[in-house]
Amino acid sequence: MAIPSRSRRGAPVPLIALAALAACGGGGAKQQVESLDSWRATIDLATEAQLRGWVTPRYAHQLRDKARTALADAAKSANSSDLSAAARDSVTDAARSLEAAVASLERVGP
Amino acid sequence: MSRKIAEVALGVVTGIGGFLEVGSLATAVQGGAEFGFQLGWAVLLGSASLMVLMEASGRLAAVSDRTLIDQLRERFGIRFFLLPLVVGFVVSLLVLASEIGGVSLALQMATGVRFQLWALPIAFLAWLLLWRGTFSLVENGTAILGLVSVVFLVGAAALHPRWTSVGAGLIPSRATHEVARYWYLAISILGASISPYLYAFYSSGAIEDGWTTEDLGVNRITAVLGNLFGGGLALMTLVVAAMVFLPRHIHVDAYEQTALVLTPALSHPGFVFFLATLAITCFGTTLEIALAIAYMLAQGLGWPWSENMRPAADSRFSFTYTVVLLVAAIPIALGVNVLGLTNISMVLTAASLPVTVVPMVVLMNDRDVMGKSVNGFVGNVALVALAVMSCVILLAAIPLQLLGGS
Repeated sequence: MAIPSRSRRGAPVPLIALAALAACGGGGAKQQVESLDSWRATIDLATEAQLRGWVTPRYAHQLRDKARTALADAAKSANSSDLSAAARDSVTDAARSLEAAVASLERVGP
Repeated sequence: MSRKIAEVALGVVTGIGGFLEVGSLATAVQGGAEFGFQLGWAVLLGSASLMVLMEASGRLAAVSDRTLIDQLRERFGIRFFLLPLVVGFVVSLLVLASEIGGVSLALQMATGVRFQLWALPIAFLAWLLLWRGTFSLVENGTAILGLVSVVFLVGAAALHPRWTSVGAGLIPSRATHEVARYWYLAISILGASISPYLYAFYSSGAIEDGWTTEDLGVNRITAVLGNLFGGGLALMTLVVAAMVFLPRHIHVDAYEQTALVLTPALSHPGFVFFLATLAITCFGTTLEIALAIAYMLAQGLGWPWSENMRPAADSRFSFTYTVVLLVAAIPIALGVNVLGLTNISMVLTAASLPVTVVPMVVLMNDRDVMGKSVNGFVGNVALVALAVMSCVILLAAIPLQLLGGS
């Protein structure tokens, strides 16, 4: 009788699930860093746009709020015990970089 | 002759002004930001597919004096018909909510007032226009205003892309990174272009406008040119995002980010025109989808229907668009993530295609329905290819949503 809890190659399903979870954890940190970097680039562009008068301060303010939400998500993730020390460091670095960008935008803003 | 030219011109304008909306804008910007010009082929395939489906559904209506929905029910029986009806209703309702979200976000970015507070007033304004207006007001008024979306063509030209690279993107190629995300965005772009509400609305419009076999030429030219130019604008949106967001590594996680996309090319007017495009095109599409859902139900259940009739004369039809507008506004008023809702709606739209596209292959070859205007060889090849593609999309959509959706 076939054992349904094993894959065709014989690796036990819990092991595969664990590996998948571990991959998701690493991917989660990578995604978080990418998202933070993307927000930093967005805020840099918004800072330039506001300095040149391309966008309204009202709109820039909304982007700042969105970036802060991304920062809060990152803080939660960095405090999570699921992340390795290296992954946590990379998330923290990306978050600091975004914080600095938000601070620059605030200096430009009203 | 001059009436025909005016009809063609108006049809083409409707195609251009009505092509971009919350889904096509979001998916084209995301595609350009993450994969440059590489997903241009998905935009091209989406507009070519819509061209085929609109031409077929318009021809069906003009020849048989019946809409696509009528024909689906009459030819396949009520039991089968319930499937496209329910699937079309649910998917269109999700897209309607996304469109109301698009207008709400545009107004939030312009005024600073939270988007949740705009949802119900927008739904009310849409209802008022449908209640008081006529079909031509809805169809032509919003399409003419939607021409504001030509700003993406201006923006793309101002950024001086390498047109040979843009052209290379029109040929499908393998993803160089993030394979699941690439195909997820490709399917989302297709879903944004080929929404079933579009051809349900188009075939109902053919009946509203009293098309006959004499209008088959107008139908063909309108479907081809309108989608060619409309798809061109969606492609220019992807080009602008590829030029502005990709080099800066900006991925679109929130709709608010997209409003920056035209500013490096067009400065402040770029910002203003982006918001105007988002608000106007999403509002126009809100009107069209609310009507399309009412058309689907009324035609499917045999109620009197016409946007040109007084609401009292087709009360169940009018009641339907009233209710769906209210229902669709509720999730936005409750603060649902508009970009997430849009992405899911587009993938589900793509997944829902087989239930209307496959029966269309049968209908378009039925001499009892189409008479001399049955599909020719080219039309059949295109429609069968589309039916096969829609089945592949159905199988791939949900796994890709799980693997590639952010």
